Amino acid sequence: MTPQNIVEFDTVGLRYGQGTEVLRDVTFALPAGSFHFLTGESGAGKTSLLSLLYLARAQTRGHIKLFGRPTLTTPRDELPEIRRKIGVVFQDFRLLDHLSAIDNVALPLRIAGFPEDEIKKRVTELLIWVGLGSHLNAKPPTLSGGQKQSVAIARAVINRPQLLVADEPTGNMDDRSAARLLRLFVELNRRGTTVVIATHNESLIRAFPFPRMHLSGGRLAIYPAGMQFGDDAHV
Amino acid sequence: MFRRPSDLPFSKDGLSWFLPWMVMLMVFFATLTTAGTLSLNAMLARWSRSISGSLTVQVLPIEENGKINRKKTQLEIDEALSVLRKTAGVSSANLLTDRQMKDLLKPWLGDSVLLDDLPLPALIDVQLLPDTEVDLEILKTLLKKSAPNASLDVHKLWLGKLIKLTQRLDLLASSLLMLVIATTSIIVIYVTCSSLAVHRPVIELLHQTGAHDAYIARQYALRMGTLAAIGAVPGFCLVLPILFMLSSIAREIEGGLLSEARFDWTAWVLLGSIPAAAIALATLTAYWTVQKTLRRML
Repeated sequence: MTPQNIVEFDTVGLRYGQGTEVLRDVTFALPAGSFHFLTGESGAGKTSLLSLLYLARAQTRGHIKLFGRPTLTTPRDELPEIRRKIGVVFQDFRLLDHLSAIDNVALPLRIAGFPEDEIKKRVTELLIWVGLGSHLNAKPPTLSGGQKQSVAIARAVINRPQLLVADEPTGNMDDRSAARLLRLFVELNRRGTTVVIATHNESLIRAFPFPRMHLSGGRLAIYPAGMQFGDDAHV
Repeated sequence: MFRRPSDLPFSKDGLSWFLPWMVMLMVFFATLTTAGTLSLNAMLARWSRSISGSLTVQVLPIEENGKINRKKTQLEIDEALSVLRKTAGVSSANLLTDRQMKDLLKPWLGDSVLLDDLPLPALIDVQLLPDTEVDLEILKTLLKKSAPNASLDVHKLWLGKLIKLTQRLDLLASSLLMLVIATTSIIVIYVTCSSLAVHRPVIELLHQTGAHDAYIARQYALRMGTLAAIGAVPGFCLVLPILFMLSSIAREIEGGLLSEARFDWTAWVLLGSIPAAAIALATLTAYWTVQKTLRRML
């Protein structure tokens, strides 16, 4: 393993039940501090690939290493420590409706055992920064789609993850808000967080020239930064 | 603002409402059963003391023409003593002296007792060897054969049978307690498993966020322990008036069989620990169930 690689996929395949493979021979590595977009048609396997990245499921073949640890052979008790290094923004937010915005964002810190004083300070600061300072105690059902997304993003980044995985994080946002959010991700990336963002937003990809991983028919191709989609890709 | 809420929306559990009711009933029955068992054991100990170690045989005086035939009576007493002294397990058999008889009757008849004027039976004090069982039925038959006017204290035989019955009731009560414990555990496991199924998406999110199984199990343990407490305390309070009533009845029947049925402080401590045990049982069962169930998840 290359120590600088945070993620390593080697001929990874994934199938659900007895169905056909949704991911086939996926091989790539993400160096620490890299920034990648993940693109592909709907149903190409983007969400499946991301779910392998954040350890929500296990591959059916091939090898995956996260932070140098092989995911299949790492003892189950040690997986939470790996997961705490990963922040995830889900496409459907997955906020807990019975908890306030502040408690939703505080979740990763509480699980990690931070003291309540520090949790309060960090969560309040971040929610004010994402524009939810007046909605700290609001519950998700009372928030708009964009506000929910902001809470979901705040929850993903509150623990300063080493790897940030986002599935269509700008889906409910206008271009201006989307660009603002991307600047947050870029700032996190500058501070050392490895970022993978699944998106359909071509204007965003053009505005932020980072390498693109493209999924088609379950196979992955990688286009270096600046290379136009359709040029020869690194597989 | 920053109170620690549960990460799991337990209020949406459809099944958890009936856990307090079930625990209330279980604590009620468990406390009642334990109280019954304690009373039975106290009575059993008292009865055992009363029938072990010694026996009393009485020989009625033989009357002829309205007068006591002392010679024949003495012959029967000798026969009875002979039978008793030959019986296995008997260490000694001695006829009570006039002085001992006077002492026995003194509380009722006063000092000036003339034994010769009264048709009193002769009493034989029989001491048994420790840790030996004397078959009272056989002894009774042998005495009847050799000395027709001699008889064993019949209530000792009756007490022996009652003790056997009590021991069986004791066993039954213990079985009932085990049943209550098993039923409570099964209910907690069922409610916990149902809740885990309902909250699976939240649990997946918690795992995803880096939660260990123990983190989730602790929240379930706290939830089930709280629900159990909501049921256990009223369940115990409901049984208290019944126990106080039984205890006061027992206190009033001084000298009777029930006089040992009242509870001392150790019994009350034991009874008071039942709701605490029910809460602990629910808490630990929920914790164990969650740990065991989540182990099957990634």
